[in-house]
Amino acid sequence: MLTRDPEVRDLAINFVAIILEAVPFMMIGALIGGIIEAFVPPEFVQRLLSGRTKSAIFVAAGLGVIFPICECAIVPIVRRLINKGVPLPAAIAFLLGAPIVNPVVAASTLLAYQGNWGMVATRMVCGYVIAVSVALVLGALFKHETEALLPGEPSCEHGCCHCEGHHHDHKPSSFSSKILDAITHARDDFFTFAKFLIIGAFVAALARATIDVVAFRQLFSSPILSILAMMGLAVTLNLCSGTDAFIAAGFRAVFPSTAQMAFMVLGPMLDLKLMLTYFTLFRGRMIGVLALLTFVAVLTAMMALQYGFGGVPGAQ
Amino acid sequence: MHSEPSRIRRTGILQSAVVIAWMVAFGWLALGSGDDPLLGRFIRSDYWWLVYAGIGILVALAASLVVRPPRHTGLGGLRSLLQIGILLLPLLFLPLAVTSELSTDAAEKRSLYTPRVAVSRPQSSSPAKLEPKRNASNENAKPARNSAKSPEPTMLDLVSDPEDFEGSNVTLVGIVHRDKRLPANSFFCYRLVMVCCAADATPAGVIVEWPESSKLKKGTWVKVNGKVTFTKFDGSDYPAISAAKVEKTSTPKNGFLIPQ
Repeated sequence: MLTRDPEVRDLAINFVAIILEAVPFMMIGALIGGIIEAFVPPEFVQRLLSGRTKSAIFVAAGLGVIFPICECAIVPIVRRLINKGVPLPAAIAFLLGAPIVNPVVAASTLLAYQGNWGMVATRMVCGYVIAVSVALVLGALFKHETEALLPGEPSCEHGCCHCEGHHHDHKPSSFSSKILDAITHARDDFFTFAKFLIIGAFVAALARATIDVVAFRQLFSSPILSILAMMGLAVTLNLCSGTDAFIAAGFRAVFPSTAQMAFMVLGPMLDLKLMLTYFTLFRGRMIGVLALLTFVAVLTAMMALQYGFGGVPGAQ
Repeated sequence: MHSEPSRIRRTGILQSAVVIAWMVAFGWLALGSGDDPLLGRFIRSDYWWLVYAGIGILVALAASLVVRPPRHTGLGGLRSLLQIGILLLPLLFLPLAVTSELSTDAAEKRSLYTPRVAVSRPQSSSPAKLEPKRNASNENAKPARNSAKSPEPTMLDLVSDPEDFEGSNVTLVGIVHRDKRLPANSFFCYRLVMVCCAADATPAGVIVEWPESSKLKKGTWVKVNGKVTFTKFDGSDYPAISAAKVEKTSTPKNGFLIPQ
């Protein structure tokens, strides 16, 4: 028995359309993450991030280029890196930068925005610059790591995010076993994070089915209101950085490019799901400062783009 | 109370059920639609590979559930069922979605009267602006494009470059939308332009001047034949067709227009 209500039918079409783009992309990202988890030794990352703190920050913020990890899996990895001696500011730079500055996110943004390199480049640059800036400030504010970090060992020495289904014996394993590890990681990611993506897609589809674009534009008529609205949405929707561009692109006709960019830059750094996982690693004061700094940095960057360049360069 | 092994087994069964349900749904959309691909109702063909890749990964996930079943139960009880419910939610909407098309209300909410910007600038990330490109009384308008080059322009061609077709005889297929602001002898005829997916589809169309416009029901698919002109609407000049003939037509297999 199918409803005849046109709004419900519109919602169904929007919902399925967003899901058909976003869920496969999330699965591809999960598989890549699983392959990295299974095949790339963590010592390699630790070597890259050791050394002087400031130079390590600049390296760490861009490490997503070779470790394309979405924010869903980032916190457990950062926890492990810190416990292995990576300086806190560098770990913060990796935490904020890697979920944005990575090829999977660039590819999904390029797809969602129909080959618009302006949107891709701006997202990457903003992600990198904000990650470095926030890490530098936090490094200055928290001189001693004990002020920022919770005491205790990581709950999972393996450094993985869910610790379900794969082996923990750490013996050298065969290629086929590693492949199975990678798929198992991808499966765990699918079951852990797909629900957040589905809820986000539903909210976006609902908004698309019910909101009158003209009325909405009038309600958020100024760019700053649009940017703030999309930042609020980014925090509440908890989307994966590998797929959030598809949701942001759904707002093309509603909000200016800077508001869409704010959504895509803030979401991977700060959303409700991430905040919850931050509590497994940082003290409350650290989380508060991190959230405030990130929020202000993203807002400032978007306002600079809006009023300095008239929007995201190349997006008009 | 269930024992730990039985809870783990139940988790494995639930996960398998979810993966298989997604595989069936993706497979149905991708393969089971013959010459009328169901995927085309939701995403443009350039992106179908995403769904094919998704099917491949789902097959791998299903195989991993057989070879290496879950070792933990994850969340138990009601929360577990709620999670499974969320994971299956899109599939529950699927039957409704494949038997529906976006309503005229949806088109109206997506700003029905911004066709030219939506079509001619598909990569734009800014909200479309309601700006007329030319003045209807412009005597320097370009002559009509040689009809041999584009004998049957699509709605997309016409809305993108209406000046090129001014004075030409065209035949177009589109959806009827009635608007109180239009005179009784006119209606808006539009198609939805899919840039990426159905969720971002925006309407693009022209005003049709036809004496029997009031007889047409909103949402009807029509074939319009007439001469391209421009008309005043809401203080701006809009591409229009002075129709010689308007007849009802069947819904096309894929109602969307896809810009290149």
